Amino acid sequence: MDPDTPHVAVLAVHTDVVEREEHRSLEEMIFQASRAVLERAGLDRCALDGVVLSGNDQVDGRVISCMPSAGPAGGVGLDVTMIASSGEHALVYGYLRLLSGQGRTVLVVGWGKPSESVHPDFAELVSAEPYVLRAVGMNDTLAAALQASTWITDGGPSGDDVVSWPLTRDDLPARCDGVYAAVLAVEGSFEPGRELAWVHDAGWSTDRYEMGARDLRVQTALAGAREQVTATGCGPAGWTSVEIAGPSEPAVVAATATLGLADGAAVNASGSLASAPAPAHVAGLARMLAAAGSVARREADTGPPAVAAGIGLNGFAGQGATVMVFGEERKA
Amino acid sequence: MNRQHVGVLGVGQSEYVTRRTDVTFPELVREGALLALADAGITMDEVDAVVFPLAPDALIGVGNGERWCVEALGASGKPFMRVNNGGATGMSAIIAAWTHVASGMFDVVLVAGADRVSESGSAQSVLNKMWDVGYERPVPLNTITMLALSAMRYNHLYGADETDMARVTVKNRRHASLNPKAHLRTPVTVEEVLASRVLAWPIKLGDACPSSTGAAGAVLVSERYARAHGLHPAWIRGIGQNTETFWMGDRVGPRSVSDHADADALAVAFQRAYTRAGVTDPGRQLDVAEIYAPFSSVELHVIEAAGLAAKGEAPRRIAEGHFALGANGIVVNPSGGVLCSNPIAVTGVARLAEATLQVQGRAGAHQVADARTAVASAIGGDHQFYSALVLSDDLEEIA
Repeated sequence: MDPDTPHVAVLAVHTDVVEREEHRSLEEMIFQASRAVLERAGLDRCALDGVVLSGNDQVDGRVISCMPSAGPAGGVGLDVTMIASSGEHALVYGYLRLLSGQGRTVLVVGWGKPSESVHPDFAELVSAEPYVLRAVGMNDTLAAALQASTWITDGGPSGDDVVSWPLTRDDLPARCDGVYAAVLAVEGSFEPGRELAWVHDAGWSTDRYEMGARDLRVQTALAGAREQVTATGCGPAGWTSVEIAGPSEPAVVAATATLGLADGAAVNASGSLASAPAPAHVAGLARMLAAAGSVARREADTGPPAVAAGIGLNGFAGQGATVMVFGEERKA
Repeated sequence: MNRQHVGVLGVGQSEYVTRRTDVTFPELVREGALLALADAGITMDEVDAVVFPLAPDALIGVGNGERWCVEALGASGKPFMRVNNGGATGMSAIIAAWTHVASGMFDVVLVAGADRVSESGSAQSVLNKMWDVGYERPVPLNTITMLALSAMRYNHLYGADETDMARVTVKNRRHASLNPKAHLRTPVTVEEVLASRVLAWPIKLGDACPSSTGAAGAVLVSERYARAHGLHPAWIRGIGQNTETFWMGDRVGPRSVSDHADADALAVAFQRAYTRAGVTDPGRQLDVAEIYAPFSSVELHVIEAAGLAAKGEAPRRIAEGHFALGANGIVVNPSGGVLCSNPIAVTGVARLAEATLQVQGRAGAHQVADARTAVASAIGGDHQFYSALVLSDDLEEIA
């Protein structure tokens, strides 16, 4: 990296999570979350140089989800880009924008409001290609179960609580309506000490779509993302905690092994997949914001500076993976 | 702004047609990728990251269709993300790739994608669903009726008429007849355009783009990579994006926040790109404009937003023969433009591709003589998301 590359901080995060929001539209939720995160950052809309959005057209029930959402996110008159592959990619792209010199402040907003659309299982079925996978009814749950079955060593569970063998309801991510927002800014554009966390690095990778062409036991994309951050000295050995959004709890356990965490590193302190619900499209973004929030300056803490990573796994059985590393202190 | 210049090392476009039954969607995407890589003279092994342009999933019938295309692209094991800004997607993806390179994290980034607009049943029925369910969807708006309203307003405000619109089509069809990739390549006359059936008055079939199937791609590289390998890419000198209100109702009437006749928000995007590129007099400093105009009426106000004519002056300038191949001054859409080929997800990539070929003198029969600088633009949503960029064949100051 160029030695003149700016340091980027997370100034504020805001999450608005409701099991099923009946009284506010998605656009109203986006407006409120965007306004709240800007207030928390001590900024108004005029201070923004760009907005990065992430939504899923099928889940949102909108053909081009960024169209009705750009205005509520404060994007009119600004450079707005929707990163549609996943919410975690939107946060990465916000980071890239600032590294590239495109302004000094960016708002990132990701969302999912399945309560306004068809059941997520149907939306996910449309993500299956039309020739083979759609005909067999593939969705996130089935893909996660196929993957989890490769890790079974003891016969697996049985009984009424099995949703898709070998996964029980407690193994699967709980879903909800949610909007997640963050303000990123380059050093020098805000008062020192105002930052919530510093971004140390980001890595992201992808694996094949065809699950039959993958060894589902191996989280190849996650390993690729891990290697990217490790190459810059921001690898798992230095993390004090990690927040992982996986397609299943067995996938989270496998991810901790794939990452090779240091002894004592906390995993998913914000809650299990079942106890900390998030819409699938932005589950990784939710965990990243939780990781950033977890390293916020701790006045009374005398221990080593906290470094936390947020992990997102997207697509069937974690086809894609993203790692974003945050620190209490600026990266050396 | 960035410390690293970003170049366009290679571009590729398939021929644009109504329908392709010989390839799946991923195979079509692969065509665009391979054409761009071949033009760049590299293989996928040398690509550091991939940005995938894909507009509404509904047009191809697969949700998150980008994931389906990873193998076809050879992107497995690489950083990969998708951009969707409606019709601006292709150029927003190019700007996203520019961002990847300018960040300093990557040296070689591929943008490649495709669209099969004519294979989605009724594209206009799909596109009607992009408006809000309560107010504007029932009007019923689609991209044709939306821009028919704009055309009526433009004609009313500036005294233009359907003949002025038809002249745009005549110019672009003549250009497209020289472009072997273009979808609509048959020259037409003003009379033929005026006699074509009305889609949504004053827009007629002859004023409208086709529903195209095709692929396009581009390879962007860092300056350090280009220098290390002795390469001579075209250079992206400036980028700019801007966003308009979603609501059509906010663009008409006494309380409107903008006028639907004009493209003022697009003008801001152009100005942002010009400022970064050091362009102060685009009509004089630029040789080529590859601008996004899916209907003849749109080209009129985009020419004005680009600063190539004053507001309301584009019809007269076109009637006088300006902006056409062979005329003095900047040539607008020498490829035939979006009016002759519109594979939505990659239409913005095609604009960059054509601008690149022009500044490098590689555009063949539709080459603008001595072209060295170009501007390209795209529009997405309901005339809502705007992208622009400036290219040149070297890194000298644009004089």
